[in-house]
Amino acid sequence: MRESDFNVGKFFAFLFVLILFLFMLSPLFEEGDGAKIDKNLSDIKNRVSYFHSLKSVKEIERILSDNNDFSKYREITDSAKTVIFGESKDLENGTANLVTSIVLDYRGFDTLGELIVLFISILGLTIILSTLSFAKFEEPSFLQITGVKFVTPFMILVGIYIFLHGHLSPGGGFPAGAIIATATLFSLIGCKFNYRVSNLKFIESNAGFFVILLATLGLYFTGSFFGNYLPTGIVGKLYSSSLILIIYSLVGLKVGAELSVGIKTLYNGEKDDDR
Amino acid sequence: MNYNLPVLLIAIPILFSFLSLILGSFNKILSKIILISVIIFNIISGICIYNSVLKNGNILTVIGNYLPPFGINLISTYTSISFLILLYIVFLVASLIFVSKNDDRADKISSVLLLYLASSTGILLTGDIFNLFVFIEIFSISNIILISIKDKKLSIKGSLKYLIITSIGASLYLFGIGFLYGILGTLNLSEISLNFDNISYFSKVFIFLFFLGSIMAELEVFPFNFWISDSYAGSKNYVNILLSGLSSIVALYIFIRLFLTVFGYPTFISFSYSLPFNVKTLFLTIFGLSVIVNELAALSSKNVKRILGFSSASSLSLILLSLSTGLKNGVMAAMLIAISVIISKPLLFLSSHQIMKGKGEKNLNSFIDGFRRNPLFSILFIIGVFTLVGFPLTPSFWGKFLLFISATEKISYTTLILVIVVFSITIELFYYFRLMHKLFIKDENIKVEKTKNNFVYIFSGILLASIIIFFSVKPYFTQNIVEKTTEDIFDKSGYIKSCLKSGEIDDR
Repeated sequence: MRESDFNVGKFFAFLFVLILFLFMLSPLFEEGDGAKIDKNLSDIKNRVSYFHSLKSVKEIERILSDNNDFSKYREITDSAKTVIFGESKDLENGTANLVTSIVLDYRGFDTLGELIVLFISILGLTIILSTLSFAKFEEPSFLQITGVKFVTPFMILVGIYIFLHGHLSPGGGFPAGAIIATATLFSLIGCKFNYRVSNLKFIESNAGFFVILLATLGLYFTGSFFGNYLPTGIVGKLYSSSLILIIYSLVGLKVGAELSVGIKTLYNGEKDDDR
Repeated sequence: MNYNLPVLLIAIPILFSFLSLILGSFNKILSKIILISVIIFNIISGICIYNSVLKNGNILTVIGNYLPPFGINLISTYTSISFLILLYIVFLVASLIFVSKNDDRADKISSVLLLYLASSTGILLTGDIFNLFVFIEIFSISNIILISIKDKKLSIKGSLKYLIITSIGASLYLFGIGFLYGILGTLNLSEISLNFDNISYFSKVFIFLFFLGSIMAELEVFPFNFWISDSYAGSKNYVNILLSGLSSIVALYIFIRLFLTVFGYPTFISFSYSLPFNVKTLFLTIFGLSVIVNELAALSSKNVKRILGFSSASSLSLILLSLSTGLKNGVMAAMLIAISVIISKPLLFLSSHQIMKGKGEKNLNSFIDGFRRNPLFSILFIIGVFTLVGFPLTPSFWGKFLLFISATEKISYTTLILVIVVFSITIELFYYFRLMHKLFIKDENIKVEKTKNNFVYIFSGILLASIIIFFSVKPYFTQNIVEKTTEDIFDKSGYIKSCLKSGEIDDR
């Protein structure tokens, strides 16, 4: 038996996963109570997520700071200020889009982590594949060249539009970056537009650097990492919730540059890279 | 004392990992300087936070100006911060070795190492279950990259195996979080641990098993341990140190936080679980089996790195076994064994690498005549072995002694624990003494050339050995640390109060 073949382990791993899988299926054959929870918790107003969706976290925090009881004062949040589109001023994060306020404000630290997950994955790709090359693409046809030249500028424009309107409409930095990266993929396959990996990496690392810097500046201005220190403006206007606007733009640039680096590395390694 | 200092331990490495790429494109030495200076910054601020925790108790760091449970928060407890300082010392050793070597990709790898540092710090400090998941993700991806950088077939194979196993683990973890969030509507660890008792039995079991399955992948526990054989043997020296020393700390801490603080209920002397099946029996079966299988795998291996890898997995399982007894003595034993394993395993990897230097195959026979070739590192290797096995006066000895004592208390499967521990010690002694015997075999026909040791290796080897000796000759110091850590682990209501301020828990 070779040393690397550790078949007993594989067998037991399979068995374990199978048991877990069967256990997952078991509720189908049972008449249980399901996710039944305590009376206190089944009231939806008692949950943290409720206040996230109301966008009135600061309000409940102010109430809680007087009396540290979470469950007593939940009725008061019903009378929270109603948000009027185009009129309400200086809200806790002036985004019109609920998802953005959760992703970049209440749970901004997680988004930072996800940004780094993407960054480190692409970095790993360039480390592992830097010595290899896979250039096996056919010569582009006339139709491809014309089509790509027509479509690509519009795709980049749409990408920029989406990350600039991340706080107003569905979308944001991640999908915008994916659209921009698709545009670069088109230009690479369609008209062999040979962009430099090192330039893209420069954009990528600088954008990441400034995201962290903006978040760290919150320590100075608000006394808390990722705190919002720029004016939030009027809900629904383009120039509202300034910090989220800037960070989402940087995220869009970063994700676009990152995915383009990944595409280029898969296309022909880092051969044209002069480093 | 600034309460925002803990967040800088995460933010500064991330910030400089981007800078390391930018500046490294001009000169590779700059990125190495950045790496070392960031670690020194982290060590100094870690010690500052340690002092502050000693004075004021647990420290809460709020992120985004939203108080918990609404926003994300970091909690620095005594356990997490003392684990953190231990982690930084091991990381310093590994990165010194990395810096001493020439590499074309130094800027990229130092950036990965900085993110590794940030993610492991994040895992130890965070008080939010989804944030924990994000950091675990970064941690495992950087592990995958670091395993694969040797550019050999074996290393790519090892990293692919690790990738598969961690992605299974991560998806199980995500399922668990989904269930928890759907039922409780919160992601804060303290809030979850307050309300976990109120969920129905069925969902409780469901969530518990999801988390158990996911964490077992990180923990190198038996059904999920097949990646060890290639990952350890195929990766570089400093990566071995990180895998054996750092991953153990991180996995151990995740286990403590999830299965003792969140799902468990501490009483005065032991932990209990309000689940419909016997959790302790389950833990005992898994970890006991894992100890035995890993020891046998180490015994049957010929490659030295593979032996050390399986051995570190088995000692991690032994720590978990003594944790899962749930007794105060058991937890103390676990901490004592953990200290000795975390420091001695990097020492063993370091010294075995130096002893086998210049030999083509890294198998058992490359240890022959090692003492004449490299006397310093042979002595360090022997110190490491004695610490790991539990030679009297080392922390590991006291740990195994306490485990024996706790096994004589009234817990189920007493004899089984005793048998497992004795069995593991015996096999460990056998294969380590086989290696140590090879060191002193003299081959008179061959003229021996002394190996030249790099200064960095000598420095880090002596640093680790002196830490072990310090812990051994100052038993009261060690006892003090371990007792405080144990108290902190048992202090569930303190953890919740430091986060929610208003948290009340019935001490059952």
